[in-house]
Amino acid sequence: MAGHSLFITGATGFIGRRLLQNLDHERYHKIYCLIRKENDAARLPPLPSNCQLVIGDLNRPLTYATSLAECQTVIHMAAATGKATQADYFQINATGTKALVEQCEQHGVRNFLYLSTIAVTYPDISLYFYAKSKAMGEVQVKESRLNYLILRPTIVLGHGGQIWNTFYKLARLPFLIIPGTGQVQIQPIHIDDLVEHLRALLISDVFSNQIIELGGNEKMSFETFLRLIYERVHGRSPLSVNIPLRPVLAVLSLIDRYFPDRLPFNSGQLSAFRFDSTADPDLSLSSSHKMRPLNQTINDLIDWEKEDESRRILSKECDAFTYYLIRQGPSDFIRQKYIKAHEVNLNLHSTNLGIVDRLQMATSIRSSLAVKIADSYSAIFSRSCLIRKKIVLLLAILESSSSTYKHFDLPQGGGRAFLFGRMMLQGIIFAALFIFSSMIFFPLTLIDRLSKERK
Amino acid sequence: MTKVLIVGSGASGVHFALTLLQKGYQVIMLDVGRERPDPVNPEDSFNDLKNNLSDPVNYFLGENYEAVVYPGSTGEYYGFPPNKQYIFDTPEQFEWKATGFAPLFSFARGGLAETWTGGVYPLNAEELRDFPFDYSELTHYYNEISKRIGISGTIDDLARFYPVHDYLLDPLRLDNQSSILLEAYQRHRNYLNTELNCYLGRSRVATLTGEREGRKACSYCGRCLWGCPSGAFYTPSITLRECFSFSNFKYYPNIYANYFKTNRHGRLESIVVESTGMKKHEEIQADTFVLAAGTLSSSKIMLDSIHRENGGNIKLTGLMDNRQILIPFINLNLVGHQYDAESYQYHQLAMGIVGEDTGKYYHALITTLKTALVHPIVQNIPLDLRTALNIFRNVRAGLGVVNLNFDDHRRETNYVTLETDKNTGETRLLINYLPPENESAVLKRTVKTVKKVLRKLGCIVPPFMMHLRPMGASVHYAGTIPMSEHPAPLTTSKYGQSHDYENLYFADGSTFPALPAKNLTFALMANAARIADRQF
Ligand SMILES: Cc1cc2nc3c(=O)[nH]c(=O)nc-3n(C[C@H](O)[C@H](O)[C@H](O)COP(=O)(O)OP(=O)(O)OC[C@H]3O[C@@H](n4cnc5c(N)ncnc54)[C@H](O)[C@@H]3O)c2cc1C
Ligand SMILES: NC(=O)c1ccc[n+]([C@@H]2O[C@H](COP(=O)([O-])OP(=O)(O)OC[C@H]3O[C@@H](n4cnc5c(N)ncnc54)[C@H](OP(=O)(O)O)[C@@H]3O)[C@@H](O)[C@H]2O)c1
Ligand code: SF4
Repeated sequence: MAGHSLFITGATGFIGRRLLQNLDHERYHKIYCLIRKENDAARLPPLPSNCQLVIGDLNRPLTYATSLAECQTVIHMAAATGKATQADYFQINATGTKALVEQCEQHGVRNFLYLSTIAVTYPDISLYFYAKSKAMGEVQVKESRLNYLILRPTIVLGHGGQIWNTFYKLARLPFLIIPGTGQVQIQPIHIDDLVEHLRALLISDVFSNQIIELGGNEKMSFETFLRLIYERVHGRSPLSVNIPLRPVLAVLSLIDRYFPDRLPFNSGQLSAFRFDSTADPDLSLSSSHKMRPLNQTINDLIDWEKEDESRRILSKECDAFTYYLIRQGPSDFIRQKYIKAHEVNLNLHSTNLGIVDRLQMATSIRSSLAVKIADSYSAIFSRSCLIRKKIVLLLAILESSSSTYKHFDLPQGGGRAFLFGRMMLQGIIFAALFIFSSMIFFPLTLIDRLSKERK
Repeated sequence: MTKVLIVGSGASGVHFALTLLQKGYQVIMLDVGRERPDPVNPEDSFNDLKNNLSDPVNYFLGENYEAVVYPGSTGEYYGFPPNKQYIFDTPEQFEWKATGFAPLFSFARGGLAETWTGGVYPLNAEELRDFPFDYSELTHYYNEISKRIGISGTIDDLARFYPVHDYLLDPLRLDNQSSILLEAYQRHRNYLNTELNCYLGRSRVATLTGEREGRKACSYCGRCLWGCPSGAFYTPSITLRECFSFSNFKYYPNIYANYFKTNRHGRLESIVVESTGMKKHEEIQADTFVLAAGTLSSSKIMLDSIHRENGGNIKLTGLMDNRQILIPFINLNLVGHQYDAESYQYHQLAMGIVGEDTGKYYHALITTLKTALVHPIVQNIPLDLRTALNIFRNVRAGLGVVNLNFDDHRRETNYVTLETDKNTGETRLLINYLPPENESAVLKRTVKTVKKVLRKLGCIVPPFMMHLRPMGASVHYAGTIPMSEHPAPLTTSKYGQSHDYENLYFADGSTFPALPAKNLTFALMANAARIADRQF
């Protein structure tokens, strides 16, 4: 089999990147990946040696055509997805696909795998330009001389995916906002399950002009699904509000028309809340791969989000504390080391904190002055509090790192008398901030203690 | 040929072994023997390591950040780096509990002195007064050990306290602050000598200033605490390597020695050991047995042997250690100066004080701050950490600490014994220590003198930062089975020969009948060589 080459579009995308990571590279002589800009390569996972990048664009077929000559199979995933202009949807998903199909025919490509979407099956896609353009893409593929497989995944869930990000944001609001009745049926699929199926299809190498609809192993209503996420995020059942879709859609399509770039989403995208997004059992694939339960998918994704969020917060802390200490930002290495220390030392985690600690941590990531105020108070009254522990950890990291250790070695500039004066001034500023911070934190500490004693 | 079995490869064990090997004895050494990892980038200086290692944080703070000292940490701070943790890795068989004492144990090849600070201070005739042999008996071995390990220093005002031995190498290059302190001493010498009974001079350290026998001269790379990469700084594993070159030497690492077995005539027949990590007991026979497992561990083996023999649980009294006080100071003349990272890191100056009323010698080592992890210092300054860091940077070149040592004596209240687990029958070492009642008056007076000296030298002692170290922290353990002129049980002859078992010798600090206010290891090594030479 090795000897036969592959051409992939959309490798830098959400699904493309994951597929590239899991592809059986050794089966191919060469794997060509179409990317748009040279530095997009940085977004790709580590590549095997038989992978070659082609810089080009779907709409400029000459940029990639010659690579097709060597390839037997094309996986076409590139598309305008999410929020794009109407022109882009059609230009890329319909026209771009048409151009690619033509080039494939001209250069003797045999097999064509087109990643379409379940949205093409919605009963009304007149205003949903993404679905419409993808449907037009399907037509191009079906009408070609190529042996094709058209895959229509349902909603694909995975970290970093736009759809999951939207759901997660919705579920983190205090109330659950449900667009429409919430009763439409969905059947989300985990990105790894999708990629596993793609791999299996590529291995079987059967391109029999087939359309396959692919969903997860459970169907449920949108509302149930959102509730599941909400409960996992908040640890309680949500109060929910349904937003009627028709009036919203009407307003949105007006805004779309006159102010196309003002909203974070477009009216078409809301179609997903109007129609069922489930796979037709007749068009499904019988496969030995077992799909993971939806519950597990949600749990995994939320765990990841929480970790990611805590990493983001730690990274912000590290930025604020480093700037506070040495008036320069940390390198990635220092950030990584700071985050890793929190993985090995559980005492650095902010569970069960008092009001003062919580206030200090929350304000500190915002400004370096807030760190100084918190630290001035802790220097005298609360020497082993959380924020001080974290800053001391950072001191230890900074003094051991190549880019920062000099801040511990070199005296501040100026002559001796100047230095004494400078140190005196620093002492006075400390004293002033200490008094100020005590006025804030001391009463709070007392309140905290009293309330704890009462409990 | 007599087969001699030694337990332990520390400072005492290796010099005992080397002397015997040179005399042609067949020597077996049993040791738990945790091994030192290879030094990383041996040519790099301290700061080069930060620049050149791909992950310097991992090197300096450890995989699990074990070298980070968080505010509120309890326990004595020694500053041992992560790559030296192997020195304190204790086998699971060894259990202990202590009251009034914070001991350190090592089961490494080379023992505790793999992480010592290299201070070499011969005990003088006065200090050996309570020992049952004449001072002159030891001087030959001072020379011998000096030849073996390489000692640099000079003959100055401190020679009145430190006997001068042969083979003294040129002193190390002084770091900037130490030389400024020494100059200040010269200026005020008269006053300090006559009014305060205080003498200052160069320390004696087991560090080479010239290349020899595969060891390089000190390159002032500033990595001493992290383990000298060139062998300039002496540790006992260097002598152990020398022992390996003898065909009459057998070294068995990964062996934990439990207790001795005796025969009908009260002689030791064998030692019962376990391979570390395995619970299987084995016996090893020899003609003569030598305990050099460090005072506390040797005591445990002795206690266990008696316990196995007759079920008894006795106390070994007289445990000693030097009381130490750390007195930090700031040399105001050096504010705003830059410190020199390329210097020898440990103490380069020492101070001798004669107690005004006691007439006794008190011993102090002056370490100026050079390379070190400094976040433990910065966080101790009672200011916000940014201001603390700035002030630290400005005064860094002038920071230092005096480590003041006091003598100790054998007392009944201080002892080691065993506690037996009722279910398993296994024993653990119990250590009990009570400081002498009148201790604090002497400590206070001497500290006051040191402060006066420091002021005279242009330094200030910041308030509230002095630290009385817990007993056990000086790691100069001695006295549990003392040499004695009278053949009483639980003592030894002046040659370390047990008065309980005729073919058992003690080669470590257990036999010291007194502990002067000086780091004892040089005397320990000389004494081990003396016993091996005179008795075998
Ligand atoms: C930080 C520090 C700094 C120091 N600085 C100085 C200084 O500057 N000057 C100075 O004079 N002294 C100093 N010392 C003290 C010095 O290290 C000790 O006096 C010396 O190491 C004692 O040597 P030892 O051979 O008697 O025992 P140890 O060093 O304790 O060696 C014991 C040996 O016995 C082995 N062992 C123990 N039990 C068993 C067993 N059951 N079975 C098998 N093997 C066993 C161990 O593996 C080890 O090899 C310092 C100590 C420390 C910790
Ligand atoms: N994610 C889902 O839930 C889902 C569900 C069903 C179907 N699908 C389909 O699966 C495919 C991949 O989806 P995705 O979520 O991975 O999308 P994505 O993250 O938006 O990625 C789109 C990819 O297409 C590339 N691309 C866009 N315009 C291009 C052009 N003009 N020329 C060349 N490349 C171009 C992008 O390159 P740049 O990185 O340079 O922008 C990117 O690599 C799409 O066809 C989509 O319709 C996705
Ligand atoms: S003794 Fe210290 S300064 Fe000298 S070479 Fe060794 S590590 Fe470097």
